[in-house]
Amino acid sequence: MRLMKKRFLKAAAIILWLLVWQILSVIIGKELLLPSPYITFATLIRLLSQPAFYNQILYSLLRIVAGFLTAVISAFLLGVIAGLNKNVEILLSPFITVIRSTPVMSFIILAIIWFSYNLAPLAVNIIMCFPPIYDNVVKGIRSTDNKLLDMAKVYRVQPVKVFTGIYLASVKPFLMAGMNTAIGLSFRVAVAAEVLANPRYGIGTKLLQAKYNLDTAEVFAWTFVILLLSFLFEQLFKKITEGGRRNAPAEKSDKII
Amino acid sequence: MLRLKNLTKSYDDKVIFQDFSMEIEKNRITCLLGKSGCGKTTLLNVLSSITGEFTVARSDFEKLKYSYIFQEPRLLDNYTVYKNLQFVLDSKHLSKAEMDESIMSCLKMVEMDKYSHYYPNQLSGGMAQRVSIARAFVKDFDVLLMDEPFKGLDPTQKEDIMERFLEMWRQNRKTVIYVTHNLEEALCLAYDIHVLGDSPTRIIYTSKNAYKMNDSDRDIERNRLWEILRSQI
Repeated sequence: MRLMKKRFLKAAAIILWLLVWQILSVIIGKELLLPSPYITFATLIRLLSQPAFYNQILYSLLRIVAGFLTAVISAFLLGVIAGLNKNVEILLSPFITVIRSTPVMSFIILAIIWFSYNLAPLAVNIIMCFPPIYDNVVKGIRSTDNKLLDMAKVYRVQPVKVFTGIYLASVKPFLMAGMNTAIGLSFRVAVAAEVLANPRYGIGTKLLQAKYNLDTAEVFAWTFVILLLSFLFEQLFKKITEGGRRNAPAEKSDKII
Repeated sequence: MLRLKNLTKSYDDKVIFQDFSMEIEKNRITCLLGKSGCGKTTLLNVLSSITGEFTVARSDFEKLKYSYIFQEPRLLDNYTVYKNLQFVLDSKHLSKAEMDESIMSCLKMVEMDKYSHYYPNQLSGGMAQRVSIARAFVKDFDVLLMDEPFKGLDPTQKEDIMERFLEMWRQNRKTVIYVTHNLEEALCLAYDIHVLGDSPTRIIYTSKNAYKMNDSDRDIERNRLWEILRSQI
């Protein structure tokens, strides 16, 4: 019943904001500034009927997924090494600080200079997704229970088993939190990079073209597509992590006394 | 006899051991008795190399294989009871069947075989400690170190676990160094008892063959040990 109520409230909130949007567009009365929800969705349906639409999405998704996964793998590996060795962390810290404080636009422009138009969004995506995952992995390694490590030392447990049994368990929740932050970032950064790099295929390219054509409804439609894809990816990620949790130990309530 | 001669160790400018020497009879349970903070746990950690940075003139304890029952069970929460025991076994030198047999027989000894698929956070404190005892015996060792493993358990649980521990120990009769500040536990389990004093840690009294004493001698020894412990507070 509570779930039903929650769903109803969510749906009501969406309808309310759609109404606000509709009223504002009527008040402004200029489609170029603010197209109505109806026109936006009509544009979206027109886009959906074009085979090229799927090509744009496919290329953007490839950049987003490939960039995200590359960032996850590299940030995990370096995060583990830096977590275990303070000197490596010190060595990497200027690089991480620079990435964190440099505006995304600077990276996009540099990536366009250094790489091809197609690769620039991918490269920027990797660079921007790296720090949150890396930071969390380092934190996870540092928060490993030393008592368990002492136990493993006394029993002369093989290093691989220590890593998989103790370190990985400690890192897992931190890694998930880092990935969760990075996944949303990945969509925003990759599309922004596409807008500037203007590769042949990509949602960002289409956004820019719509802007040049003064087709604000299409800008809105593509923005809606980005939001929807980002939401779907976050839900998929949640499902995967919940699946992992289902295989994890039961909660305290199942305790045998 | 295992000998340790002239152990010296400091921590943050505080001298913990200054030329500390100790002899431990092999294949016996030796108890190190002393008040909290007198260096008992540090000594076990030095012997098992958990703690480094110390000097020693002679140590028969180097290169020995250890098992350790800690004050708290120290089980891996993400592994089942079975996998916790498997974790300390050397999978390279044991077949799956051998591993399975030794794990299950050790769990059976502590009556935890029925819970092999449970996770540690589903177990009570006493059950988790029984698993840690099974883990200590599943792997071959020369010396078993025990750091107040029965602390915090209720009296019934404690008695039950101590009995199970003795049962398992009688099967291999390896050297055990057992640390406690509980005099009754020491008299119940130990063959020899070393009473430790602090600042720096030293042996101030040794009770030999406590297990052989008759009831009246044991009472006299109990009173003597009690007096020594009281004088340390």
